[in-house]
Amino acid sequence: VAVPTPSKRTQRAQRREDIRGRLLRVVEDRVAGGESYANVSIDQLATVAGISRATFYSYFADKGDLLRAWLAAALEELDAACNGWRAMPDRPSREDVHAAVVPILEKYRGLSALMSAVIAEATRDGSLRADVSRATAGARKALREHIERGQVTGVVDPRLLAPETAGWLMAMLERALMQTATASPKSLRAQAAALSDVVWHVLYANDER
Amino acid sequence: VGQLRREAPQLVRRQVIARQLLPAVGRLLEHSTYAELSIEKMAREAAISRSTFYNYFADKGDLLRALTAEVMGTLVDAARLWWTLPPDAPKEDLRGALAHLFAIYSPHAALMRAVADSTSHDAAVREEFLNYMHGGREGVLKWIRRGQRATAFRADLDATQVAALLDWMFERGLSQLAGTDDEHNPIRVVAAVTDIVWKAVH
Repeated sequence: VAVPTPSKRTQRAQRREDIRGRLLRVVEDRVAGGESYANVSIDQLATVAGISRATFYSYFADKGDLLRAWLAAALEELDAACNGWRAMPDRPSREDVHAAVVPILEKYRGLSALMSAVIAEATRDGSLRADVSRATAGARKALREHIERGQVTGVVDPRLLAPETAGWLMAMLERALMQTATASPKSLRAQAAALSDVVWHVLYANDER
Repeated sequence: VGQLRREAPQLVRRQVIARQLLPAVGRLLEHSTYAELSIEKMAREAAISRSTFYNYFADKGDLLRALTAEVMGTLVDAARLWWTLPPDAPKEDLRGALAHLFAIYSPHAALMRAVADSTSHDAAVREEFLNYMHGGREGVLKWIRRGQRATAFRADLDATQVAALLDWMFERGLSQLAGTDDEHNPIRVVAAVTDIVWKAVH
């Protein structure tokens, strides 16, 4: 077996990206059409993408592997969509929170079909599940630190239990993000308004009777 | 009428058998996923025969659907204590009602995680699950509306949207923060969610 030259390796990497793109478009169509990724077979994916089963397996170990690299890129995009949240003033108004929440929901909605494929596949693929849990745990930790900083500066109610509050709010956010998949632009706006309203009242309103 | 007479006891028996299987399946789920469990194993753990199982359930998916109904029905009942609180109820009563929901949920945490997992590939379980989630949302919504009418809760609150958010927060949050392990302190977990619900509506 000849060792591939760097250029052959580059070609192969490019071909892999090309095939991944074609396969992911098929996944996106099927999932957006209401199918679960769990119920879509590799044969079906390969056929619609115009490649053979053997070609699929020469580039990807399994269905989870197909999604893994996409997930890493998607999580980076989501993280970038959170920059507005990080840049909020120390004592944010309701409008500040709203302006920070909208891009996160909108970004997720664009990713939602493949994210739901990831979530479905993660129930049976341990490594994908670990990737998702790591991302969620990271977000929860960031939110916890955000709350703790706010408590130090006196913006957030000091009686709030930061780790548990972050856990519950992340649970709410996770599910709210998943709801964006089927939301119309109008209901997405209503959802963003309600979410920022709740978050603002919980963290910053500080007007408890 | 004859058919109804024959079918109704069968449905009641089915729910009775599901109730019998519930703690057994819950125990097994502490150590494995639902996908890994065989019908033999579940039947043995519940001390029922394989043939009894197949008398009432077509397959594992069918059982999970029955278990979803059983558990989520119980949870919706437990949550009623919260939804029927008077609008001027003090925060301590809200905390008590949510502690009750948490206590009823905890022994079923593993099963509820299995249910949530299978909603991504089992349409029948998903439908059952979403029906109960809808029931939950309606319960929260009525509680919020009553509070708004009594001017105890914020009038500018989007009751429908916030009810949905709280409903989903409990579904996801309980599955992560409740359970029989000692990872989370129930008192702190309940105190935190009480603060969130309280601040969300007041």
